[in-house]
Amino acid sequence: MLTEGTYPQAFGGVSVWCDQLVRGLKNHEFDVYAIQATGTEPAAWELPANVTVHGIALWPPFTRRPRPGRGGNAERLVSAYRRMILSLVAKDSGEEFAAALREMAECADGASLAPYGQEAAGWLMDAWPANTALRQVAAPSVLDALTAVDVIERSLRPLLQPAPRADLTHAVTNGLATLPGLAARWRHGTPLLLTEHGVYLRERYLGLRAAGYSWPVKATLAAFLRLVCVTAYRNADLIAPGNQYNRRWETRFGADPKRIETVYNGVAPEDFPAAGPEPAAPTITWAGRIDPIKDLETLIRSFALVRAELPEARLRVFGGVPAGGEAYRASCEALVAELGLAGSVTFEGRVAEIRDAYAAGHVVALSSISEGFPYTLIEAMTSGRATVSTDVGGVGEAVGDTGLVVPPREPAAMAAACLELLRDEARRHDLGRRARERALANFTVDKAVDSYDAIYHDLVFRMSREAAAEVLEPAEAR
Amino acid sequence: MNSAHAEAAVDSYEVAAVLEADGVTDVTARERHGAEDVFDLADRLFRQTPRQPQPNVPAEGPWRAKPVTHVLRGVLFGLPALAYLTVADRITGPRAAVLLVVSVLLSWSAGQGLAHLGHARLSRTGRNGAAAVLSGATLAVGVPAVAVVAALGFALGVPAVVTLIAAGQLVYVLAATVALVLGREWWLLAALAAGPAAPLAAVVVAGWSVRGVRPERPARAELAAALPAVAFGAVVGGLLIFTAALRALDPQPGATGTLAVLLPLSVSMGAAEWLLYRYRAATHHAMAVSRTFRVFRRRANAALLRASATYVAVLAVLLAAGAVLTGELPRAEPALIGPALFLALLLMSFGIRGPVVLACLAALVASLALMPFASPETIQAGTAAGLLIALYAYAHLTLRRAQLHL
Repeated sequence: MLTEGTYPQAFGGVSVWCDQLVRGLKNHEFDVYAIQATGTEPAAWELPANVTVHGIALWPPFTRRPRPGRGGNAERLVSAYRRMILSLVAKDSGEEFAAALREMAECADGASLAPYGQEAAGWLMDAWPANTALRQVAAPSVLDALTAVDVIERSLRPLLQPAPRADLTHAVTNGLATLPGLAARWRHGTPLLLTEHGVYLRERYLGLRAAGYSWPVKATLAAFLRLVCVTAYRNADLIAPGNQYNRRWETRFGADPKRIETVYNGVAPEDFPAAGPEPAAPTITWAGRIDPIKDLETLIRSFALVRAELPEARLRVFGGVPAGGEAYRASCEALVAELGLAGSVTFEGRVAEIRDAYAAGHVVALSSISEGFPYTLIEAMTSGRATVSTDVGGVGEAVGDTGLVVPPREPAAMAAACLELLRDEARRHDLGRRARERALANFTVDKAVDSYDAIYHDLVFRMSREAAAEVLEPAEAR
Repeated sequence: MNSAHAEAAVDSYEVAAVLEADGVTDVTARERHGAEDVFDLADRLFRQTPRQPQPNVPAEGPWRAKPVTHVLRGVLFGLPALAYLTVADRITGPRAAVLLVVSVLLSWSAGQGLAHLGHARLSRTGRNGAAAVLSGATLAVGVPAVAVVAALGFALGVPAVVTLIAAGQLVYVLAATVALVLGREWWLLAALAAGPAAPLAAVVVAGWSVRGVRPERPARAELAAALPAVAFGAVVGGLLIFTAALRALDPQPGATGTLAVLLPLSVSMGAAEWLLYRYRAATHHAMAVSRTFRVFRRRANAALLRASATYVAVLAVLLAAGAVLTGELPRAEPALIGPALFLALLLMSFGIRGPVVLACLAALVASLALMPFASPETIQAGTAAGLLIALYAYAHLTLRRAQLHL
């Protein structure tokens, strides 16, 4: 299992999913190759007996000054590195990039590219002017080139270390996590399975925008990450996104639609029994992290419209504020005050049992502007509550016809949907019941785990058959 | 939808990422903007937005010099050595010399090692981690070291006041290192006002700086990383007190000023730290504004020359001031050792430690080997000159490489 910045050292949706998978597949041994920042991060999860963790630190605190390699292999490595750097500033260079990456994986064996930083920065600066689109905007300074090359050198460490030995590698995100899998694919013919919950590339584009890099650094790193993702999409034996909506990015960047098989997340049904009676006052609940991506403004504005029709209506917001998100929460509270909703809208903070949040209302609302396949939604569905949510990411696939789906950033549409459900008890209860049925049938942990069990066996079987065919072929040719 | 999404974007996919993060879906791209999907809309926006040249605004690097703090740190480190002057006439004979050598070597090596441990933790885990490892390591090293100096002084029958000052110096250096790593310069200055009780006051400041933190033993890897700093401290300590120690062994009239000349040198370390920051800020800026390595090399060479020359000038002023105060002629040894030490610290700040320690060690070994052939002053001046030339040449050749400055 190949991870980056998630399992086992961080909390969050992807880590929850990893934990469910390794615990669900007790008969499989998992070597987790976890790409981390410093490698000193404490484990956030208790590891089951079938899991061994191999940390790959990109910014380790103690390093020896690496020495340049010697001999033919070192020359091959440097020459491939050069072609890789040049492909970052060339146009339509996916093939060259992948070929260079493969060459590096095949001759690296734990070698380091750090001693060649100065040379690599030189290649980048020399090649830059040949690309008009880049030259028009900016030219890299020595600092830009060295910075970009430094990040790339660190990012390639997972590729250059000895490739994992396994029956199968399973990257739980695209990007750097696929590098050990690609190395194993190229060196030992190990099948590579790629799961995506969000879209790595899209998130990295946003991350690079926010990181404050100069334009040449941002352009170089974006090209590098885009080409890594393209290479992984093209070389993975199977891509298993967590929702259908991700396919758009996957196929656009080179994934063969025939090799995409959606596997949905699931929740444990015993954690979310059918919620009991509804509260007295008509109540809308929301649960999640208080974060701008959840667009709570739209939720609050739509609730203002609901309350204009139903003065006794309430909105209860459950969930904590992530570090650094205090300003956003304050802005939400200011909006509540501005719209004169104080008293009707309450921020409840974190709750011990999230199922209590769903049980606390008639309708569960989700107003996000971006989602993968949100746990909030399938948990609410499993609890048997009717939902109103925005049509983003995999939301439509999750809800089907068992809840109302409205366009994002449209308070009026969301208010109309909420009012409809608050007023029509029969419809609301019918949707809630069918939502629970739908979730129990499609979105349980067991189902997700069984799907991966089948995929693992299938990929390993397919690969061994291909290997057998290769052995037989020469005999037939004779 | 506006061009702000596309401005400064590196490609249309970045625009698509921004659009989706803003809540645009394939459906809304079709219904509200008449595009086929989000990618199509992004592509249009990207094409419609003219590519603006992006200005190269060199960001401020991490090396921001704080002149007052740096100079103050030099004073805080050097000034307490004044205490030795009050007993300089009693530091005579082999016994006092041994005690002097042992206490100086201990305080320099322990101080350098602690500073390295603390700074490494500070940059990695922040103030609390640094305070924990500093308090742990200081207790583990400091208590036995002070005991050794006290026991040695007692056993050798050195005048009690000399032993007291040697032990006090050691205590002060260790406590000051903790306080300085944790940025308590002004508190430490207040501690100096305690006069003879300054070491105790410094201990109070250090203790206050690490209050509420559980002392922690440094990890093996941390200790290994701090070893070159310990070795550097010991070797430099040896180079600095070479003449003073030999003169104490073989007392001659008129040689009591040998320790006094070290005082301006100690104080100049504040200027050295300040110039080190200035140099690193200058080369960082040079990287940000150079578009070729050749231009960078030229700027880096000039920055090295400028920093070294400024340091020499500052040291010359301090030595002259010292000569005026003591009424003795300025000496050549500190004027040569100082710049060599400055270059050594500069190279160490780049993590170049092995070659620096070896060069200093070679100078010390050469000094010891030459003992029968010349006066300590001549030997010290000669080996310091050799070390200075070697380190400058090495720095000139090595620090031209831009990658080191990242």
